[in-house]
Amino acid sequence: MFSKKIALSLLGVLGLSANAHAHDFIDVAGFPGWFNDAMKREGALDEPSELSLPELGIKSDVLGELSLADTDTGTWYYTIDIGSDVPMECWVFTEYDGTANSMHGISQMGLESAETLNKKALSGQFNFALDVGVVGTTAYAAYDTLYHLGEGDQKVAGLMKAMAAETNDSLQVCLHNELGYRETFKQAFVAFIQAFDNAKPTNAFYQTAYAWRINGIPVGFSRESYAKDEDGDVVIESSLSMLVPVDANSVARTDSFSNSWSMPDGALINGQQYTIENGVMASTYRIDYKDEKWEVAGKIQNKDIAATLEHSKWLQSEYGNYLSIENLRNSDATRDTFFMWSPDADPTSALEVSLDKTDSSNTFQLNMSLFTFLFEIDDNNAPVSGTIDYGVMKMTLDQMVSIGTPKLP
Amino acid sequence: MKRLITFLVLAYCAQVGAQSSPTFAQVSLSTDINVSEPLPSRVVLTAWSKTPQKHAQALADNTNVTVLDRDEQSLTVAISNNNAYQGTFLPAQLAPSFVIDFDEKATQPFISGFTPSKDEDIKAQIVEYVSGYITEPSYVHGFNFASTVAQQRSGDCTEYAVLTAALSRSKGIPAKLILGMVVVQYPHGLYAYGHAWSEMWVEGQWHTADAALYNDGAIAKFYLPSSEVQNESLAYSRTLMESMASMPSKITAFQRGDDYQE
Repeated sequence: MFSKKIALSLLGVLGLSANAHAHDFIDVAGFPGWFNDAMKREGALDEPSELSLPELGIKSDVLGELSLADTDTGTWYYTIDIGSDVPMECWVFTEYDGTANSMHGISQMGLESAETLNKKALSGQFNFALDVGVVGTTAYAAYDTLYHLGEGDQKVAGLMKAMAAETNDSLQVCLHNELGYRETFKQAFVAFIQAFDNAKPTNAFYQTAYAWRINGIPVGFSRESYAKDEDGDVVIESSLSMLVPVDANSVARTDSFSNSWSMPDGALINGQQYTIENGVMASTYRIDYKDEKWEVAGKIQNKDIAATLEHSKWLQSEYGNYLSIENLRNSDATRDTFFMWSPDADPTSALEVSLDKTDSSNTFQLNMSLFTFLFEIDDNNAPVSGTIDYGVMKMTLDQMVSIGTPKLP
Repeated sequence: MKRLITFLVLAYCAQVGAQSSPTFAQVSLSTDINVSEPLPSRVVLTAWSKTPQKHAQALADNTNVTVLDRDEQSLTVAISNNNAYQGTFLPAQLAPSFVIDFDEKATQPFISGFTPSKDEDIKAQIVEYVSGYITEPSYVHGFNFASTVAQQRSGDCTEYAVLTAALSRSKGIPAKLILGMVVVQYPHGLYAYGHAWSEMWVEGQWHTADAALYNDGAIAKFYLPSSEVQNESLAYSRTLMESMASMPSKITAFQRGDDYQE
């Protein structure tokens, strides 16, 4: 019989093998031998233990020895013994900023705890690694920080590993503050997230997630979910979480969420979006069609905004983009043009977009005056990979998961 | 796919406030000259971008930069480190805007804290004040308005430029935001970065005013503007993205411009 232990191990392996490797910023080859020896350590995740969180409908086995250490309203704090000196810590939140902001915040809190425990001040911190991946249908991000405490002969080094994912309406953040144990931590995290991913209810007819990279560095992920509502319209939920390594020591954090509704033909009905940057609510926007006009309201950097778009006709939804691709693919036409509302570019006007077929049947080009996105599609007419050249930066998007078909059933 | 628009105005900045080097701002620069020797007051370089024609048009009024050659992929220019050129200003370059919001209540403590001496160069005093006002140089910010920067006192080149323009306009001095590239010679080497700065109109001339690189220990600096941020309304982000998309992706044939004759 296929034992639970083997299944969990396989789950970890498959979860890891499905994703690209982390991008390491620091080459430790030149570091002292003791450091490299410590970095090679891994733990043994032999025994599973049960994670039971009835409030969120979770009851599943995870890797390592899990204990509920503390709980408060909407927050659960676990420790997981993964065979290292220091246990892995995991938090579950029902109220949070987002994967990028919350993970960074918890990681910084971990550094403060390390200062307190060691009675030494933080004397340096460096981006050590970034990663993005997927567990089932759940995208995750990882951010490791190499840090120093104290000065001179008293200086000590540590590695704060952090991983986070958002499943349904909760956020999971895990930390491990010890040199080495990178794969062990990742396997235990994947198993922890799998417990939430398995319990994730969905009525979506299409879900997808993309890994975002700049010059090959994984900087975040985007997610999209499409479901049919009781009126037969399409409910679209999308989000973007990014940790951009802006220098050797810090990452810029962005979490953006949007909800919108689309007619079955791809016409936008209404939508809203908010973005949190570096722990601060940076913007909120809403668009509605009233009296045959598109009305926009919101706030950016604490300033209220209200505007009526000059464009009063069809705005294409994200769902409509998939229909455009399908229509182009199945016709002799080579171009489709439409207007979209993209508040990140300009909340007060519609953005003209064109979609072009290329010579290859599965390669398309999206032109937005701001840039060109060249992408390949799969059999479902969904982009599987794409590229934007932007000055010195080359951004690539790679599909990590695709469940269903981007077309109303 | 709408999410593609959520692009990065992040980290397109030269090293500010003694911070470590920005990850994505550095532009590759190739040259055959000895970069350990002091550079002359003029250099020649070839900037590669997707829109050299647009770039050339943006440089038309800037007599610090002379376009020597252009093809479909690159622009060869001579750049002087004079950092001033003749010009006129528009009324909007004196007025508050959505981005340069020096009229906001939150900006007032910053403005009132500036008490210039009448005997000294106003431009230099503004740059020095802004440089000191931002106490937490950081690349994590995207593009903050003057009122936000004035409160947070943190930022990178775009925040320094926005605050410089705000203070300048508040004192009745026309100012504008410029995006482009700067080539900086430090004792340890020669570097090219994407960058943002402001220009102030003083006594009939536009002067480069760069609080981000104030007192940075550079031996020489050469500014190559790509575009001016002309739209300071709510559509500023679109303008920034369009500007940044046309920034140089690399610099080649960097050479001394001693022999160049205007």
